[in-house]
Amino acid sequence: MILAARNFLELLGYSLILLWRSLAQVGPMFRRPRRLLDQCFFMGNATVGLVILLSFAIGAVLALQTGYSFQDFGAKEYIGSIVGLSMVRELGPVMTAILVVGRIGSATTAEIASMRVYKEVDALVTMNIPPERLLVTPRLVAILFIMPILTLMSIVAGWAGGAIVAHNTSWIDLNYMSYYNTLARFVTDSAVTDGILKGEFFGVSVVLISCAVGLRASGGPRQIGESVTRAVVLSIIYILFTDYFVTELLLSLH
Amino acid sequence: MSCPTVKLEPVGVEVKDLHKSFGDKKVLDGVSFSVKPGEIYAIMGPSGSGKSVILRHIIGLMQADSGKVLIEGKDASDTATHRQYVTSIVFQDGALFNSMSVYDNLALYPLEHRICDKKALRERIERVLAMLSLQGADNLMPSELSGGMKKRVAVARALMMQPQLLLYDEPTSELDPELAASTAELIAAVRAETGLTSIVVTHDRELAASIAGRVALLRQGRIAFEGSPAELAACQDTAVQAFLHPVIDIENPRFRKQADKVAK
Ligand SMILES: Nc1ncnc2c1ncn2[C@@H]1O[C@H](COP(=O)(O)OP(=O)(O)OP(=O)(O)O)[C@@H](O)[C@H]1O
Ligand SMILES: [Mg+2]
Repeated sequence: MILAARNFLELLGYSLILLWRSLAQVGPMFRRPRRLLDQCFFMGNATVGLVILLSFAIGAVLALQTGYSFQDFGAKEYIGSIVGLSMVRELGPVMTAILVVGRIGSATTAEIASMRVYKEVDALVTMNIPPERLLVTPRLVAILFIMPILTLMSIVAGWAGGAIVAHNTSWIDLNYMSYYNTLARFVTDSAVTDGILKGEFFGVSVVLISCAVGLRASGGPRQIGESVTRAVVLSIIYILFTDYFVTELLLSLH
Repeated sequence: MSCPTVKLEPVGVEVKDLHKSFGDKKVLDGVSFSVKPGEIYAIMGPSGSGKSVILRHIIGLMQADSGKVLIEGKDASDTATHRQYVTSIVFQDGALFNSMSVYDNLALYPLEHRICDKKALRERIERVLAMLSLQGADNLMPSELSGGMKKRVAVARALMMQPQLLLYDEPTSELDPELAASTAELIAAVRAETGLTSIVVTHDRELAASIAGRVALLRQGRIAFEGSPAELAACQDTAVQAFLHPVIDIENPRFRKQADKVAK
């Protein structure tokens, strides 16, 4: 247990070093924008559909739950505000981050770990090309662009899911207008920016952790699989753990 | 900018009392030798004796337990040394970038270091590929290459760096006799053309005999023999001769002797 925690902290330390080195490569990376575009395309392609589908489902269930609980109070108009705020502040960014772990983080670790195991990273080093320039920086910049889009998609899909369920469930029967009215009243601009910032933080962290775990792989093919599992588990623990503190920080800034 | 073949300032390499263990397994136990600028130095020795480990120390990928490697007097484990002098290695298994085509593998170094313009680069890559009988392979992916082709692409990629010091880890091990001979010729020709320093790890006796200035034999973590190919051939040491000219004895095979030894 203590050992696991130490390894985890060590990895976070290495991730920070990696972040520093990757930042130094932002300039050289933009000389070959192709790598960045490839990453953006891959990341978007891998996640958009899943994010929309899952967020829609979550918004729908959320509306159903709150509708059921509020039935006796006659407060069903507030379904809009509940679904709206939960998606924006919490579920949107966190759900998106978890999907990013599964679709992008795992692929990142697998690719980098295999490059390490098959000595491709060594080859880069002997060519005096910092591995970060090819492997880490393009991914970090790509997720910086992609994550806000994904988070927004997730939020809107969740809202839509909630609205459709609230409208079409016979015992809730809330019309779209009043759903939207309460939603718009409670969801402020700053709530949306908070949500996007949160998503951005998670997205960058997940990609960084995945790269770090991949670059630390050594051994044979089996270690590639182990690295992927490790990166996924660590990323999810990291998200759930930091979520609380990030939320508190963002709330305290207002 | 174009890509002329330039005469290089060759560098000397000095390996001083190198020790390296993995766990409690001693691999290098005081290896010392020095390679003169512009020389072709061959290292031979049994499989698993630590030849690749020596090369990894010279190229700066591994830290010695004690002892050191100097390139022109500068510490080889320091990345600054490898920025000052262009050093390159042909990895034993090629270590090609599997997600890039052969062309991109060769183009990576010049592009990242902004050495050539695009047109000159293409010409040079075509030329290097032709030198290694790899014409038309530029659009293939590494997974589509045979073992011997991979090896030659790895050599080509190293040559693209125009290194001052080039380490070859078994450059001919997967090649047919004719290609092996041609690769040996290439190593000698590149040296003659650019004057670079080469260290060649090989099991290929003919290669060592025909192009190396000096040959070293690594056994049990030490240099057991060092000298010119002629001296190696004349060496009377029975262990050296047994290694260089093993007799294939079907009646009394080695594996059976070894198995008997284990059984005892
Ligand atoms: N990273 C490593 N971790 C642990 N042991 C290693 C490592 N690299 C090499 N070894 C060990 O060091 C010894 C020498 O390995 P090396 O690859 O240098 O052999 P070699 O002389 O190149 O053999 P071959 O001719 O088969 O390529 C081997 O016994 C190997 O098990
Ligand atoms: Mg070897």
